[in-house]
Amino acid sequence: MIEKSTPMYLAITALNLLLKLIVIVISICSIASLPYLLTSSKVEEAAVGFFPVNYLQEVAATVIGLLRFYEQEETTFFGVRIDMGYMLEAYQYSMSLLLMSLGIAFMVVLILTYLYHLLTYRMKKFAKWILVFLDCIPDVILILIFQLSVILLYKETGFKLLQLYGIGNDVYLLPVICLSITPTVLLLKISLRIHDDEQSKEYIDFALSKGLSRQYVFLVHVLRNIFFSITNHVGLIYWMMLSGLIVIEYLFVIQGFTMILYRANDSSILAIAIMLFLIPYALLQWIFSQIDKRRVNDEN
Amino acid sequence: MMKTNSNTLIYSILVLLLLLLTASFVYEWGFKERVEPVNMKPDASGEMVSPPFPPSFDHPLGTDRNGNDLSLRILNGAKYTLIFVFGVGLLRVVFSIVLGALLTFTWKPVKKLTETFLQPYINIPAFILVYFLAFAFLLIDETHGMVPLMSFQFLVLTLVGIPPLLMVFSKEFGEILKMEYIHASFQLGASKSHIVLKHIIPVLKPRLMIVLLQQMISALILLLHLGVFQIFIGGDLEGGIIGADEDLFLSKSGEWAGMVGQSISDLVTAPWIVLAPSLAFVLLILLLNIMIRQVDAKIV
Repeated sequence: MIEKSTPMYLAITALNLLLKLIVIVISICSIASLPYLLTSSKVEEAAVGFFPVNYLQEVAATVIGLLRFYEQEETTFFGVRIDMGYMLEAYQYSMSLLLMSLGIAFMVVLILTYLYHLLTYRMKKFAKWILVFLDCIPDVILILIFQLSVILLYKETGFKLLQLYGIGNDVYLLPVICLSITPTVLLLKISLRIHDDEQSKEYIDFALSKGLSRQYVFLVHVLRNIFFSITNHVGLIYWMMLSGLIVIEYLFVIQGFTMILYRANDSSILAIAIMLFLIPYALLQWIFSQIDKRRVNDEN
Repeated sequence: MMKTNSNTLIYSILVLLLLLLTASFVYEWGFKERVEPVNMKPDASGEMVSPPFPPSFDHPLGTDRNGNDLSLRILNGAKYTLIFVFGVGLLRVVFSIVLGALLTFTWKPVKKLTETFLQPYINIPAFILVYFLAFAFLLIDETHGMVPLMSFQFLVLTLVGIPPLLMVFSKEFGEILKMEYIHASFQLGASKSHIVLKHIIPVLKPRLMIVLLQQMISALILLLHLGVFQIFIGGDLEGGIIGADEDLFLSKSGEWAGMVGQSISDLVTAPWIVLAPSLAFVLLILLLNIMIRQVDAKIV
């Protein structure tokens, strides 16, 4: 075993990291070139089949294209010009939708968990059943129901609650609400389970016997533990929200960043788009793992 | 007592789904030709109106724009949805177990590299992967009916779900391999395949049922997302709606997710066309979720 903090160790860690990075970039390029795996690239005689050689060539071309991206001309598709500026703008918008929804979901879950804490035993059971039902409704159907109810409300009362479609100015409110529903349900499910688990733990009894009030124990101790446990599921949540975002941008006709994923036909642009999508995820994962590490150190 | 109770529930749900499946086949082969769409019908004031008709006593879920009864269409589509989703789930689990076992026993650096390589595939929504491969769907020769296209789509949907599941299984295998009885078995000269078949799979067996059901749900949600993007199982039919202004694509197989996806534009004018198959969808997911809960309760 090489000792830590020697130059040798650092070099090996750096090499390891570099290798990982290269593998991930190649993997992303292999995703971006997937269309070439099953269709031949010749347009005039398009055919379906299995084209591993073509595919590998395309993967290599994508990697090279990625390295040369800065000198690439801007490309257009479906009448929309794609260059770095457009991509960044769309990216900013899509990511702000995503992060806002994530923040809202977190806040709503913490509040709802507190309310759940105040309920009686029977009401808690009832609340759990509602959650089981909500969990069964796929996000697409939730969004459709939501859209329908906004329109019906407008039709009945003439009250224009929210701007529905994204032509013109950026719309925020409705997409963010729709996007935050699924993570809220999922997080709430996790949070309530942990809440119930925590209730039977010894430190609660100890804190209560010390004379601390139930609210205090919940707000200071239980809530903190719930928060940390929830952060373990951030990967799953980000994944769900990403697929939700794609559907929402499509249904609300938003010219967002996910549009690049399903409309661009240039593999290196696709690769960059996928990469940009995965970066926040990696960041979130890293931040939460750091928090987790500190927490474990604190406890020791 | 608890145990028999949960078993009856699981079996009754299974019987219910099987009945639905049989009814769907009986309808297709027995009655389908005899059921005529309703073209015109007098309304309450005696005036003739054209479809779509809202839910009524004759048509409990209403009719579509061609006057076909929606409940019968849902019944017809049930077989495609159920068989497709079950098949995809089953194959995903089987392949993932085999590949997971292979991955567990590969040389460690290779294993680590493979895991890194699979990371982007796991963290990108499965929908995107299917979408990239979906260009091939359009090119498949349709002269031999829906079967080639459906089996191709079946394959794609299966493959897309394998990487995450593979990682789950490989992790679980790794955990089980640390157990002492595995070491003892190795010392006694057991081969790797013996360990997998006799020591690992039996341990995982109760959980496999849950994983299968979860995969079925995830396949259902994936189908729904594809439906929104007008990618239908069994391909699409051009036009097909009497009196439609623009060319709309219809799902050829009449599978539920396709039914939702093809009629999203009807959401405001005739919401029941979208909501009826959505309801079927939610109920199916609810049944699967109840089964998961029951199996889960049995394990613990």
